[in-house]
Amino acid sequence: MNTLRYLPGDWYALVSANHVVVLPPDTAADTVKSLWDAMDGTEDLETLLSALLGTVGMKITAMPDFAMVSRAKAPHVMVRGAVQFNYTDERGSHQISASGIATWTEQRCSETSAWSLDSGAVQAEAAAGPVLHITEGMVLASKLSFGSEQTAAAGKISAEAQKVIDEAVEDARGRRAADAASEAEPEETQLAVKPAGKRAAEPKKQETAAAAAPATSAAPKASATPAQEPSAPAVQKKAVSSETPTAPAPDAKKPEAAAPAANELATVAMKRTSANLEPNADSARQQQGSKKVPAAAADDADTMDPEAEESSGISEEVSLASILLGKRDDPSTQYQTEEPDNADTIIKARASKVSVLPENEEVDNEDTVYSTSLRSRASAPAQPAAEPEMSTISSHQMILARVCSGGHPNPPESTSCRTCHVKLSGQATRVRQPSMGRMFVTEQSSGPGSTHLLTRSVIIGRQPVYKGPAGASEPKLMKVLSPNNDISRSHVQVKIDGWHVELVDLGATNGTVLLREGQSPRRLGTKEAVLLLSGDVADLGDGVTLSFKDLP
Amino acid sequence: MSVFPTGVIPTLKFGCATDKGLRRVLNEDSMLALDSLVAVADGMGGHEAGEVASSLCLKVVAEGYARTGGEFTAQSMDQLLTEADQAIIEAGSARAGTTLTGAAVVSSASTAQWLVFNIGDSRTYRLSGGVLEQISIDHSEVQELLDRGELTTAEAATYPKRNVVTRALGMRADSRPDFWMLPIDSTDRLLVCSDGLSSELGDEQIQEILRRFLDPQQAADELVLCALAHGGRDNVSVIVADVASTEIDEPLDVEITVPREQLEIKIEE
Repeated sequence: MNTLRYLPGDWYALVSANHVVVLPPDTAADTVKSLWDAMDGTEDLETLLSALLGTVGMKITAMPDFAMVSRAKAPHVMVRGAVQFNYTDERGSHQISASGIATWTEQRCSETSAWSLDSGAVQAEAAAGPVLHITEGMVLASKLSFGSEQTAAAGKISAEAQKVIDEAVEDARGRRAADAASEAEPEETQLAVKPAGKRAAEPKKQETAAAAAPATSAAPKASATPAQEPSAPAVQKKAVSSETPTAPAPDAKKPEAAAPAANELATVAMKRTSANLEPNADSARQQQGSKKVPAAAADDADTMDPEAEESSGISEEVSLASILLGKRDDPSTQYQTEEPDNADTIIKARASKVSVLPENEEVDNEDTVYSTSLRSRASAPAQPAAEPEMSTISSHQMILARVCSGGHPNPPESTSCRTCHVKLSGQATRVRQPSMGRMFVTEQSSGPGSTHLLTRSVIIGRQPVYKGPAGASEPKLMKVLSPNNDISRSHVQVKIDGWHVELVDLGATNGTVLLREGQSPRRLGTKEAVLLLSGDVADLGDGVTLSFKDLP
Repeated sequence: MSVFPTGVIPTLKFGCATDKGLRRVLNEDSMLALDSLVAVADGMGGHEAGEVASSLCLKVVAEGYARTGGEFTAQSMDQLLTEADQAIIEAGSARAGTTLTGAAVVSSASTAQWLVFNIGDSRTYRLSGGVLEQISIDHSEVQELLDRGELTTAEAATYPKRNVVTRALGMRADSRPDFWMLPIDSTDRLLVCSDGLSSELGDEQIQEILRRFLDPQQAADELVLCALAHGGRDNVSVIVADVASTEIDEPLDVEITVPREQLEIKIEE
């Protein structure tokens, strides 16, 4: 998995598919947003560096500390200030820093399997906290790491706290064993207790967090709503919520040190439990009750208003008990979060101005509406990342592909998944045409440009037209601005043919120039077709360029 | 740029696309696209109740619209929405509700006008001269906080209760519609969408797509596709409506492509 781990902190960490940028806490929101925008569709660090320089009026002295890393096998790294980049290659461990340098340090690393980026501001409590994961998005972090360097990157949990957790788990296990006979799901229980109980070395702690944290790391918020949330990224908020005060020490006898560590586990678990899974929470609660685990609020739980329950510590306590007792949520629900994105729309409960009902009934009614929507939410859990088979987007093309266990389609001849790198086996099947990559369109005369997924062929021009058979193979028509009329009405086509993406000249008056790294610019002949590669840029003239990324 | 002369009621050329998104089990959105009326309703209530509410709402509106036979006004729309509200309350015991937004082409003050209507947090936008503006104003808690200055736009994007609407049809709640009247320009493009689009894509992205894809169906497809690529956390429904050209389909391209060689030094062949 192309995932980074991070420790919560106060530095901005901007993670896109290709780059990681770290900026200090006092960075202006505008700067963060500019960088974030620049990261969308950028191929190289130079562009990001210019974007950053742009925000400070090209004054190097005004630049904040930063680190920029390309997420390539051999990362390209730029750091300024106190940030440190550590990586490991065949020859050992290396460090890149800019200490004593007035500008910044730049280096292209050799191939590395593991690296980490340290803001120099790792806080003690964060270091002891859960290690969270991020694939893409913006979070507040103190340290980011990639690859197998688990121990070094991980938060360190104090030996004391660790011991306490172990004890708590043992304790819970013992209690469990006592009435195990009636336990409905012994296997699941075993599984859940294991990571904590068997912990021999620190990395185990991470795994616990990692296993329990997908709700956070996969949090769609982080990857999906870019830019607008530098001050309060959703992921971070959740991580921080481990400080919720209701720390229920699993057992009254436990020393205080138990609280923070155990509470973290609980918080991580809460993310799953409270992921609008009322049924699970209920069963956990019942189980808890029947076992007389001294988690305080269990008895009150039934009378709690559902809204209050979500925000109070009760879910945490319940989940803590669940973890210790081994009650796990249904794995199929683990990608759900409690973000309102997943919540159904509800009508605000308040006095209606046009209601035909008397006051008192009105209130009652609104209550009903409110809780109804909550109940329905619980009883109809959304499926994680299901194929949108009900789609009514017009006419999808089908394509032959080998699909990996993660559901990513790949060219039929490939042996490993281009997305998650797992080995592919089995027959190729027909699937809906996936996106064949991205095309980034820029125009001289308009905004920052935009990215389009290549799911269908596209004809690009000043006033594009298509004359051919209608249907699934009908290309999209994309208009670009050409103030000097340099660009023909139908200038060039980006043609998707099976797993190939081609650039086809459509007899454009002024032609198209293909820019490819390591080659001199080449003008396409009339009606010529060229196979496109990732990183290619097509210059249509009049300031319009198409850059291609993530092609197969 | 031209305003329609007296008596000419333009019709619409539209594209529609919807998807239940990547997280939801049901698609509770409904869409209505007629020659001169487009609307999106985003049902709520869970199970199939939301779906029933949104489709019932549009059924009432469509039938009522047909009855008026071209003499459509804000008053008649208001009347229809009261009917729809009542119909949904009866059908769903006030447990199912729906938002509604869209636009009708009406004749007013002897010119053709957009009559834009809204209840809830679905949205109607207009692309005019390449610039996107949101016409409808959400009836949502977030919008109220924004109006009162208690939230910034950035905070609004992550505000936890951004799924809370303050008006809806069919729930015995506040169901008063807002109306806007705008003169129609022949180059106008309307976008009517459920919040599954506007919560995934920013206005800038929406504008780019609407500007780039001239065909309304392709623009609608592209918008839904992008919303899914951004997470697709809710049902996404999109109608893109252009004012149907009264001229020939392909407008005369007066400006022909100028060979660059005439403008600058000849580029090496």
